[in-house]
Amino acid sequence: MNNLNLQDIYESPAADIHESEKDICMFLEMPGIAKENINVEFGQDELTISGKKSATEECCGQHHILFKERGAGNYYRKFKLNVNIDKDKTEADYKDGILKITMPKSEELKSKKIEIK
Amino acid sequence: MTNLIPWRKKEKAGDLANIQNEINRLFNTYLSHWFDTDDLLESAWSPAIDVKESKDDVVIVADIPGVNKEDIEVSVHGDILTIKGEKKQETQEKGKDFIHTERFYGSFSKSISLPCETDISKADTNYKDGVLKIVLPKKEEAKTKQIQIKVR
Repeated sequence: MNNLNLQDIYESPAADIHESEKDICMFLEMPGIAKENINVEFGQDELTISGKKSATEECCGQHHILFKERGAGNYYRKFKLNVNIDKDKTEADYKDGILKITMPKSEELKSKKIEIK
Repeated sequence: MTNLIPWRKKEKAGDLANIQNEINRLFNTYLSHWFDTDDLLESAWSPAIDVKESKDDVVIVADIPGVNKEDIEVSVHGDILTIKGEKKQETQEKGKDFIHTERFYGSFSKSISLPCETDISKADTNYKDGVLKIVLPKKEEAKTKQIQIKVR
């Protein structure tokens, strides 16, 4: 069996998703990671969020661990998008360990009222 | 001749779902005042903590994403360290619906026992990227002294 390295373990960040007429807003809990190490990518119809802690962030130095509950701080999660998203206007923002992704819906998808003749 | 029985489409696990709905309805309507669910939920979440020790200090690291710095309270009583706080929901704009919720909101508290006596007056706390880091220097008498033992 291969040695399981803590650095190779990925956690699935907890997420809240809100939807309005204009956009879809996601909040993901990804504490303890540098902004530069977070990746948000669109696939064909999916959104991939990943983040990896750099080795220096978890440096122990002279310390030895007495108690450990926190994960290695590597995150990975994929969402299937069943709504058309304006990928160019999508914004992401990271503050206090929360990644916020605001995805505006494409123009043609915003609810349209259909006239009945 | 057989009686006519109205035909119903069979749904997978339909019965189970019905039972669950019935139970939920019972709890929501009749039994809701029996339990103060807010109290039960209050302790539903507590932050994940790492504790590290060196010869000079004890370092406590806690994952508390999405909290205002002002809403975190750290206290030490004897050798028990307590981290308290409240996770508030981001202000919700009007016209937004939740389509998925996994995150916890509300107050939390976590206590751990420290491995030795620490000097609280020199404690250093810092909150960055959702991670709370507390460095507690050890008291002089708690620092392990090296004693030479002669082996005969």
